[in-house]
Amino acid sequence: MDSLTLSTAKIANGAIVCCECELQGDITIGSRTVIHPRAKIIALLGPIVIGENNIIEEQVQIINNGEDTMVIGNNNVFEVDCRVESKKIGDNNIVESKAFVGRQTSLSNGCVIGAKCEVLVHETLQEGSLFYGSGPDVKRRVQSDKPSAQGAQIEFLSKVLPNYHRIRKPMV
Amino acid sequence: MTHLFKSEKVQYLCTCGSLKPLCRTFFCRHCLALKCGDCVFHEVDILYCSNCLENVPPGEARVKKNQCSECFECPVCDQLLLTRATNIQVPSTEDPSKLVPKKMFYLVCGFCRWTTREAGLPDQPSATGSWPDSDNANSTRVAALLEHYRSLAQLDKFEKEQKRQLKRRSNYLSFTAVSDKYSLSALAARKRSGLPFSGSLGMKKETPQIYKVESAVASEETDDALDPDIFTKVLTLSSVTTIDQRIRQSERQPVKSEDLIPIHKFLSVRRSQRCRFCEHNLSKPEYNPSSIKFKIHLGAFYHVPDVIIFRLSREDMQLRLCNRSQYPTHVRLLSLDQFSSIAHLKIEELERSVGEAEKEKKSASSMVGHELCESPATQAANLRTCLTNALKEKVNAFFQLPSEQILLPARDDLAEYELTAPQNLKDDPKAVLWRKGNKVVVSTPLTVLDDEMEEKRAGFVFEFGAVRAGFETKEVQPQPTNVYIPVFISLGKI
Repeated sequence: MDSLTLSTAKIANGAIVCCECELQGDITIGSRTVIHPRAKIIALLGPIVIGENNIIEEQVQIINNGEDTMVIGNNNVFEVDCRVESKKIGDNNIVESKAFVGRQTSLSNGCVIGAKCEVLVHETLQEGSLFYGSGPDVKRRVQSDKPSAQGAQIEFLSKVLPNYHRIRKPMV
Repeated sequence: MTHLFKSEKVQYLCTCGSLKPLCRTFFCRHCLALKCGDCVFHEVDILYCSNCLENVPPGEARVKKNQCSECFECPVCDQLLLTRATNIQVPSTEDPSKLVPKKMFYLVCGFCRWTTREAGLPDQPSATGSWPDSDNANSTRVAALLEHYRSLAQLDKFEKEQKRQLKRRSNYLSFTAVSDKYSLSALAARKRSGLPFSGSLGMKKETPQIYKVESAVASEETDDALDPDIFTKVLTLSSVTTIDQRIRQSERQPVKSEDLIPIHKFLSVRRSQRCRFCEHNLSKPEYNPSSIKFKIHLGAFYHVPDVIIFRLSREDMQLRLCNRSQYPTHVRLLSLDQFSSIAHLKIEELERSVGEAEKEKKSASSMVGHELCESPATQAANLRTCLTNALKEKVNAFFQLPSEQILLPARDDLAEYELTAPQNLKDDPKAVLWRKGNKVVVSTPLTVLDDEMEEKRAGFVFEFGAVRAGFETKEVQPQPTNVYIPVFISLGKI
């Protein structure tokens, strides 16, 4: 359990952070955020601040390799094996499986990065931006309604995960 | 599975002269010949929706424009739309002051998350069948044009029929036209000059009338003028449709993405294949759209021995032969030269028997089905085209092929699990290296013509015994007929 000793992660009350996930550097995790085992959150230089009600699934890599603080808002979902290096992520975003968000791209609110989409554009994405397709054929559009909230899923995970995994104690 | 066997390295020469991998061909068990997808009749068996698997009769499909009425595709990305239910609060019918939950449905794309709400379509109270259809602005014009062309086709048909009748009559006319008593010579003159039959003889049928349609008139002003904002305001790409999206809804061609509406899913077709020569079915799927079985399936994969390259080098070239049919068969691998001498002999022999058959006064036109396939004239012609096609192919490497016949046992699904000793077959150990069940590995060392580094290609001809269809039911042991199929193998740069 290297991550237990190495990390100085600040975990708020009510957050479910599995011991098997890898946390490195200065990390703050908000309440009711669920972090699955085998997720990697690495703050190489600057700190990472994660808000409330987020779901971070298995094999997700959230990496801050700049000196500025990386801020992730509330109600975001990071699906299996996505990789996020973005500096700023707002609320209600979904990053689907195997997607990649580069350092130059910031997400505002209600954006969806589709499965296997690589987004490296130098801009802050408009609210409700949506990327879909894969490989060289990624398309984008803007959707009117926000992605639905994941409240029920978070509640379910907070009940089930502690039954099968060791959970890190909150540390403020 | 197809991908596994769809190697382009080993190709079989089809009767039509094209080269195809074995799994892409049929084997007509009546003609005993390979048939590929390009040389068979394709017939539409059923029309069905690939999503809801509903079978649609052809007449109904034409009325519905070959579209499924229940299933929709996303206008943005072409994926299937899913139905999603939501609960909304509506005033109760009994007591308007109270709110009761009501289930409403809308369509959503699982890929790009487009919903019918984005198009401004209200949610529907039932899950299927209630979505409004788009009305085509040009529908009356299209209907008029259709009617016009239908009447033209009718007239065309009528004229053809009349010509046929005239032809039949022409013998009679040539005798009677000498006298002008019944104004028949005028008729004959009309006919000679190619004018249509005027009907002065009192034809019973009337000439169909052509449905007149007004020709389209070009006008200076069009409806789809550009929005003046386009020159002054910054264009947001996400609010306009792409060319693909417009073409997909060709009758509406919306410019703004909010005008996109769900597209009816197009029906799929299930085909059956028929041999062009003997008109027997080669493949016929079951009628039920949800079934993936076949009623008749004469894929060559299950009737013709399969070859794969087992080891690839000049000195130690090995080929694996596999028999997937239900009959054991004797296989001989012939070089192209051997094949040409054998084929010439066979053709001579067959042509002699053609002469005998003619004595019995059996002409090809009177033959049907089996007789036609089995007639020596057909067999000789088939063999000749096969030979000419095979000799056209370029080869620059040669196999040293085993001279003896090799027995390929029938397929036995249980053999994989049984630990019985291999049958004691008298094989030449130099030729047959290895044998298990219905598979045999033979050694075929290569002789290469030139040593330049270029793609090498070699060919040989399979001679194997195949059982003609229709013989299995008889009590006598089925007598296999020798079939010759040329095979060409790309060996790459070796």
